[in-house]
Amino acid sequence: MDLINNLLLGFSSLAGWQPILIIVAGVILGIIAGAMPGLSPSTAVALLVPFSYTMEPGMALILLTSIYIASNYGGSITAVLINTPGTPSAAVTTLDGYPLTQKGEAGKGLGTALVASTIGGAVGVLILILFAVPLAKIALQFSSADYFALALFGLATVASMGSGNIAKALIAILFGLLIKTIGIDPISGVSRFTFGMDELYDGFNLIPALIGLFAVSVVFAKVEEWKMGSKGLVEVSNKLPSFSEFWKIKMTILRSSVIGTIIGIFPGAGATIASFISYDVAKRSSKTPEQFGKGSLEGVAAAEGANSSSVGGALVPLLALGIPGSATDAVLLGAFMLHDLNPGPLLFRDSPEIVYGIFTSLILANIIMLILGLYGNRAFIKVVSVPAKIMYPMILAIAIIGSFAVNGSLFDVAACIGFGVIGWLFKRFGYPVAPVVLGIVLGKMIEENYRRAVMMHGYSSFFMDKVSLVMLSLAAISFIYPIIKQLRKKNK
Amino acid sequence: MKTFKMLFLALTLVSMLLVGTSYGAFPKKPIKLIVYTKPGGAIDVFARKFQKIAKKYTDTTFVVVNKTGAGGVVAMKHVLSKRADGYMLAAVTRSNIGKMVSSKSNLKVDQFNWMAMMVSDPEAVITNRNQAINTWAQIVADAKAKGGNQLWVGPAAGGNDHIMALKTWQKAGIKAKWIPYGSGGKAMAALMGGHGVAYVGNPGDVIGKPDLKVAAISSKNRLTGKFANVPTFTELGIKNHDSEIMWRGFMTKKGIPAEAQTFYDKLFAKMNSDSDWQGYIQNLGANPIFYKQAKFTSIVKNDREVFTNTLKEIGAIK
Amino acid sequence: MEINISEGLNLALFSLLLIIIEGSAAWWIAKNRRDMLGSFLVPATLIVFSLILWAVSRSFPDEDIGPIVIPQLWGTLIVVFCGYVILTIVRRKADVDPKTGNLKMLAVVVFLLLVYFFAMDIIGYFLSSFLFLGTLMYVLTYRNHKVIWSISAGWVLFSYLIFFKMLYIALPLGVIYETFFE
Repeated sequence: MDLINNLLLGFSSLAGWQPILIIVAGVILGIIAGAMPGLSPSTAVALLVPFSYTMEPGMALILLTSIYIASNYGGSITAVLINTPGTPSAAVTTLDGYPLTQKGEAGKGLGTALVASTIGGAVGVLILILFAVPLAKIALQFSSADYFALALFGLATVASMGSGNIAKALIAILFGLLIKTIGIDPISGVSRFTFGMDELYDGFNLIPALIGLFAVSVVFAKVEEWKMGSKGLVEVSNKLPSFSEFWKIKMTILRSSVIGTIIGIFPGAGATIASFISYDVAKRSSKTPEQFGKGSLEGVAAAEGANSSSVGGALVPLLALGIPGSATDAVLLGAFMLHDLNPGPLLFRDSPEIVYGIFTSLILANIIMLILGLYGNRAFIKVVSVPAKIMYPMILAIAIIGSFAVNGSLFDVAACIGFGVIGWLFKRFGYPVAPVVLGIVLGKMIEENYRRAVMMHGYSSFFMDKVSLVMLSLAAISFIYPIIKQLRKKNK
Repeated sequence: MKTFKMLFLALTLVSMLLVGTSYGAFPKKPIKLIVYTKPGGAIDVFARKFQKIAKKYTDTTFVVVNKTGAGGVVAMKHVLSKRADGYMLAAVTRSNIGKMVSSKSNLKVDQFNWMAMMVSDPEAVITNRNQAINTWAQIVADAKAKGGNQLWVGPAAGGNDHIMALKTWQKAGIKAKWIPYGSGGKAMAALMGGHGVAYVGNPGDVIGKPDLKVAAISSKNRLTGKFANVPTFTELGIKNHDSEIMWRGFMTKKGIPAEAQTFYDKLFAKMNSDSDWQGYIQNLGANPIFYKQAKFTSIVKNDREVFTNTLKEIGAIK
Repeated sequence: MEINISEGLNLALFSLLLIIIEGSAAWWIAKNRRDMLGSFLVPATLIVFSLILWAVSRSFPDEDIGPIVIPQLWGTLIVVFCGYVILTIVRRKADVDPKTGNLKMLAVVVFLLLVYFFAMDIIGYFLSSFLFLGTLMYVLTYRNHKVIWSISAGWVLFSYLIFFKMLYIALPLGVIYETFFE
């Protein structure tokens, strides 16, 4: 009953027009920032921290968490419409979202993304409210060996991304992994492959690489193709998916929401890995796996359900333990401290109105996001009918300012252009680019946890632990199975 | 040609006027406060608290500018790239000195004006209350029993906390393994999950985390307030292990005008005796202090030497 | 005596050697598998890149599960898989290169992007963005001047208000502005 009382307390702290306006503002800002390549959730929240400093603590945190949850959805808009993931996790959304737009069914892509995000977001928040403390305790039990196994499992999802040629998909992911070894090695303190450049000390940033590989490369490819009319890219319909279409993917949305929340709980795993794994699982359990990559609504739902639900998951360790579970959480932790608040179990006791205010505002934010999204989609979709000759220069301008905004560094802008050329070459010769992003995301997680596990308990640590043993076996199976399948096909 | 000459003349006049304004009383325009992390980082919070409280003592606004990269090296180079007119202040911590060395940058201590050291945060050994081993005596006994296989968790190798751990082992005559994590937060999660025996950080790290406790601090005296019952290493019988700290402070490029220096000296002195400022720092479990240039510079020089030696020892640099 | 190929002149010579080998192989491919030259160059360049990083990594401290292991593992795997792809080319089992499109136009776009990048540091973000957007639309044969210049100006205004003013992103103002006005 305590919970209900506390939630009522949370709702009462939201009474009045001001908190509602703040949530609406946060959701709008979040959607726009998410849609803007470069303003990933963590950057968007970080940029608003100084602004929120002047606000009352409760309101400031409501604003920031509303931005956090909405920006994970916002990333899907540009992913579906112009093949440019606004956030790293939306890289997975492009796989099926953009083919839908090319077929003229952008409305279906956006609608599925919106509904999956809303349901995912709500599931994540509900799990956060109900089970934050016990789940956080379980997450702590995970050892480095388990994290390593989880990362390998994420790596195995590459199998469902290659467009047939598994060798090229593997090369793409290995390239991402190798790129990620550039910079300081936190285990030994040695700086690797920096060639005396300070900018390389932290390694390549994910965001400029992402924008280059997806957005800039597409512009390059289209310019080379040179079929630009003075009209829009394609004729599109803004028709939403029908109810029966939603009903067919209900299990995919629910499953991806649960997967996203669980992966979000583990500090350091995050929305991107959640999306990749959820997509992989959805494809394997789908009745129509051949539709994946060609505009499957399930594919869009799997990616978006997972990345939005991971927000609730990532807030579990932050609120229950005071440990940031994602890059955005780390920024939120700073925002708490700016207002002299320390997240953790004591915050539930000392300032329940803040904690439960955040909970209830997250629920409201999801509802507001659904309403705004339904209206917004009609406007967003017009983007597609902007003539290519205006669209492509704009995409480049957004890519440049977006990469600059991450760190205020021109080096990132140069990196974005460089990755644009690499992405263009990769796609031209049949190497998928999504695995490169996956490699960059997983690189540190694999290496650090592998080495840490061996340092702690030797090589046997991977086989002593039941969790890691199970996950390692699963990863091995999902790696090997598609290769066998491909070989069989060839022999036939 | 004539218009060109006129334009040139006009530009010269304008620039002379603009340069002219920087003489005389200081400050005449907002001051940039460079922070080496993104908004929301610990040092960013520190800088913004300073910005807010400084409003009491000066009409000048401090504009926080986040210049991230290479653990502060990018921010320091940014400071060096601008004129030494005093309008660019940078918030610095001890870990920046480590990064100066480990990034192999050519930055030198003498290029900066180490203006004020404002916070002294004692290094601490932190344990998990729910584990059997949670006092300093138990750590020592366990370390001896495990013979070098006791696990200590903490942030990246070669940083402040790693150096603290190495010194602690040496002074206590024990051996253990340093297991580095990507960030302090992740290492604390590992301690909470029982994957290690001890974590090295600062007392403030345990605030809001009732499972964790500070087992010992490297400080001459006990802290006041909520950490009053934490023993110092001296009390625990470890001699000469009372001055390992994490400091925070401010610096500028070397060679700023004298009136700028006077302005800052006065401002920092006022800040140091401000009760809000002191309260903020004590709440973090740290000590508010004010060391001026001479003392601060010698501390920085000494730190640089310590980092160089340690990083060579662990093989991170040659 | 062991030769240290991880630094300085030796590294440069080693890299040069790799590039020469790649070049000669490319020459052979160009003569014998003309329609697969691009398909060859991508994996071949990745092999060269991995081998250079492999050479550099030899200078890292050699310790148990140290900083060398993982980069060399990824590098080796890249060489293996790229080698496999090259093998399919040599055995004529690979797909032929895609048709080349308007590469000249692409070169112009990349060139403009680079000019934009370097101009930002000199004349500042706002002026260079205005010029970049306008020029690029013009280069892409868009001719409605009113639209061109209003979109360029609109973007500059938007980036100024939202990014520069509201979000405090320190967009470069350019050395010219900084020398005279700061």
